[in-house]
Amino acid sequence: MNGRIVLFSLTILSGCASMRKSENVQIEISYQRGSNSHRYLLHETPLMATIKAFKDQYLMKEMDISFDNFSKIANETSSILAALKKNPAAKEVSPCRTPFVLRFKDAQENLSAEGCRSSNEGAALGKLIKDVEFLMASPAAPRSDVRQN
Amino acid sequence: MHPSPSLRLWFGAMVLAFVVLWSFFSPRRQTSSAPGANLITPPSPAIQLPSTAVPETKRMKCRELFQAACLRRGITSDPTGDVQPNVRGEIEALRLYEQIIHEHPDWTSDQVDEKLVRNIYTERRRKRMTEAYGWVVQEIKRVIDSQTNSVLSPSLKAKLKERIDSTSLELPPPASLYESEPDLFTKNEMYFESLESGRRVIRVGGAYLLTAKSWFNRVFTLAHELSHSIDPCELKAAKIEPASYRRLARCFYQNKIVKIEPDRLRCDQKNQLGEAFADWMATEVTARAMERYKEKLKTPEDNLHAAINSIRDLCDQEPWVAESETELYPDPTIRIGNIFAENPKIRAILNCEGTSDERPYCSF
Repeated sequence: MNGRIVLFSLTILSGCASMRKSENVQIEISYQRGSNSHRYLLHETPLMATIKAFKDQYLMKEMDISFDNFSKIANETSSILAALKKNPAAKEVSPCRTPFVLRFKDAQENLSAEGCRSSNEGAALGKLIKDVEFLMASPAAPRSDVRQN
Repeated sequence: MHPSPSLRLWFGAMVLAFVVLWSFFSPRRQTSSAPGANLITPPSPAIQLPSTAVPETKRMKCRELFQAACLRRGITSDPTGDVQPNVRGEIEALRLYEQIIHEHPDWTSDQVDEKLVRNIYTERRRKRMTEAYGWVVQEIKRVIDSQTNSVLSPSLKAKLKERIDSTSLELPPPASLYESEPDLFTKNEMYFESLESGRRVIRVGGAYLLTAKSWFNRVFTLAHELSHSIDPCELKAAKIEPASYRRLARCFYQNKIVKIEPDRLRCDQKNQLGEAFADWMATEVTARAMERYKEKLKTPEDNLHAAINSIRDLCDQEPWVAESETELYPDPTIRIGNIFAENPKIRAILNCEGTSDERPYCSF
């Protein structure tokens, strides 16, 4: 019975992943630490995938990324959102000083989660941010890497 | 066409006179450092004040400290060092990060982070932080001990000091120390957090280590973060609600430092009380630092620059994207004008003109 559920879930997830490919997909990762706000906006269109990094209201960096890399970040975001839906990253014991908002939007879904990075569940966001920053510090995706429709 | 011997003699005498006069009257930079043997004293850059900033006169209005600190262009040097703009440290840290990736394209992000923290969190920079932190720990405990037993009971004093002592300043390496906040290595940020494991930590961004060379900046910033371990909201979460803290919260509200009435304070919303308390305590510690090392602050300008570098990081703050009815922090004009600049010790050190606010400065 459990095996069937897992198989069914995997089928739905793989279906969602394949459907996302040719649509507009937007991912937003926002967080605050101290008095600074940070935000990453990732956007995929049929023509290209881009990433923008903001500190407070300032655009710090903007670059193209490959569809493969966008897809990796999108899958990681979906996984985190699914996990946060089950176990919200709320902090019960003391004030949260590292709040975050994670959003995923495509033609089918408009998902978001808020929480605290220092909660056990919120720690997963650190890995996602690290992957985004690593991507942004790596050499930019060559134009030939951009999907041609 | 050659000048006559008498003219050459006259010219030589003028040059000699100029050199002698310059050696007597030229401004001298303080080269010795305040506490911490490894402080850097960079040459003082030319400071340009915008027309709206207050002039650096011997007596200033402390209310105008916000303008002096935040509308100033250029970098302010005090005898212990300076504070570079936030973005400069972040750019430097990001360049290091990109350089490591470029030199080691086959490395994983974990390997890159490990190399980055070893380049940024050097022994010298870590020592600079830990020395300032040790000083701040002792001074906050002295502030607690200096309260009468009717204000803070002996058992409460012991609890507060225990919370101060059990808070850790966490500095990598290894990079895994910041496993949940790996993006901190390239940021100019310092923060306090109570983790769900029960540990209380202060973590420091790599870019902060690259930019904050002023000892007074480190003292204020570390004191602010460490004060969160005993702020009203952290204590409330630990089910400690002293009467003296309620009085302090009422005073903050009456002095328009926080916006929400103390009776409505729930600490599960962004009520500004924790931040106001941390600023208030950090101001007291900084004032004591300036008093303690007054022999290093020889001129009124030294005092003003030390004060400016202490609070430089309060100038810029952004509202959080998910903010509701209030902001997490009081406005910078309030943090600097109503908390820092109203502290009686700071007013005395800066030799401020006029009287303080008509409302008394808040105390326990």
